[in-house]
Amino acid sequence: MKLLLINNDGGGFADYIDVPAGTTVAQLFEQKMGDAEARDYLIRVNRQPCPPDQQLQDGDRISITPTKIEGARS
Amino acid sequence: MKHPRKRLWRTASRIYHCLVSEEPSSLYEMPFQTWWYCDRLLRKRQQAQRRGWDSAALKLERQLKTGVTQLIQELTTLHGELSSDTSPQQISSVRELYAELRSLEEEFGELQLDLRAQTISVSTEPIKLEGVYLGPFEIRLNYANLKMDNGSPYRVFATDPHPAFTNDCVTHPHIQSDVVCEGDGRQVIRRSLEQGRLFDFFTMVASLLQTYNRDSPYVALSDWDSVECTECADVIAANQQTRCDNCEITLCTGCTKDCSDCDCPFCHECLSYCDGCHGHCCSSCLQQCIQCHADCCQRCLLENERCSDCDAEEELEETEEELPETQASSANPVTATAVQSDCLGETVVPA
Repeated sequence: MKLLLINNDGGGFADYIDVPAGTTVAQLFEQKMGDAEARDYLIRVNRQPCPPDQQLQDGDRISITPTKIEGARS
Repeated sequence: MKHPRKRLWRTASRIYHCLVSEEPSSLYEMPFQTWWYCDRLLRKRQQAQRRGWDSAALKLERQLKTGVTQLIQELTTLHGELSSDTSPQQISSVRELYAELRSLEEEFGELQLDLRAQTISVSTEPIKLEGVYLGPFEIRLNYANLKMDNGSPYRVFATDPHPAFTNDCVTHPHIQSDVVCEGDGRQVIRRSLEQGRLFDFFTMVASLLQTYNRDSPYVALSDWDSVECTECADVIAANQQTRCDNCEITLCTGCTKDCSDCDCPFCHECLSYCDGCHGHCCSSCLQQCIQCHADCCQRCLLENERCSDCDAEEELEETEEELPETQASSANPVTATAVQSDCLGETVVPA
């Protein structure tokens, strides 16, 4: 199935990806973010809060946004 | 208060038209402006050092450090932009923008829309970083220009401002004059705006406000309540500052001199010296000797309003005035044997 993944970590990109049916939010996070801690990210499916074991559906929009973004002096 | 669907659709439609009518991002640019700024500061600092202007050199060194940090930041951002994904932009549709606005309402509780000014605003919860209360902030996006090439299209206002003691314009360690420096977030915030991902944009700015980067703040949280000594430019805690009693400038302990008479603190410029004992003394405590007009502290000015030198001189003069009288009296000394008339004390004795 095809999903729109928006990864706001680092440079930030939005792209369509293919994942096996039945993939959960936690599995996708682990697959894409490696060792990163899920609690450090705001994860939304179709702009709604979601549990880690929620199964993703074809056409879902998943956004992963870090909760800590370091600003700086311009 | 939730906005009616019609109003949200209208806003979404307007944002969409703004997004599609914008020209693509301009080409990358080297940060020459910051480079030359640092170069100028470096020259000025060297000049100040050569002339022995230590305070000015210290101040310029601080500005230079800030400038170099900014230069590194801009180069890092450029590097990030060059290394990032170059896939074509995916702009949100009107339906998606409508969904973005709805989710913003749910996330932040209230969404403020101003169709005339073409702005969308949300407010954060009160923010406290490392024990320093900064208050709530309003993030206001002007959707008429979502590109970040010509300045930031959004501003962040402190609604209950608690700015840094040294700079009223700094309401947050990473905000100056309502403009946020995104640091690490610049690239990702820029992309979210260009693609019309409003929910991502507002949540990321809110996350940025909740995070403190101690390596590059406008004012460090540890110095939030600190002040700069006007004389030596040293940074001191606000509760350790002293103000000159005369000109009211801020001073550190090292630059404060107390008047030897009234014990009030003064800066170097406002303090005078007693001509008698050469001790520090303020102009209010200094009094002029009525004879020689020398400035004297209370200890050096005697009861007769003369300085000790004039007092000594006066005493000497008085002594000298007394001296001629003494000499005159010694010229006509009183004889021990008085001249007596003839037959004085003689008694007629009958024969």
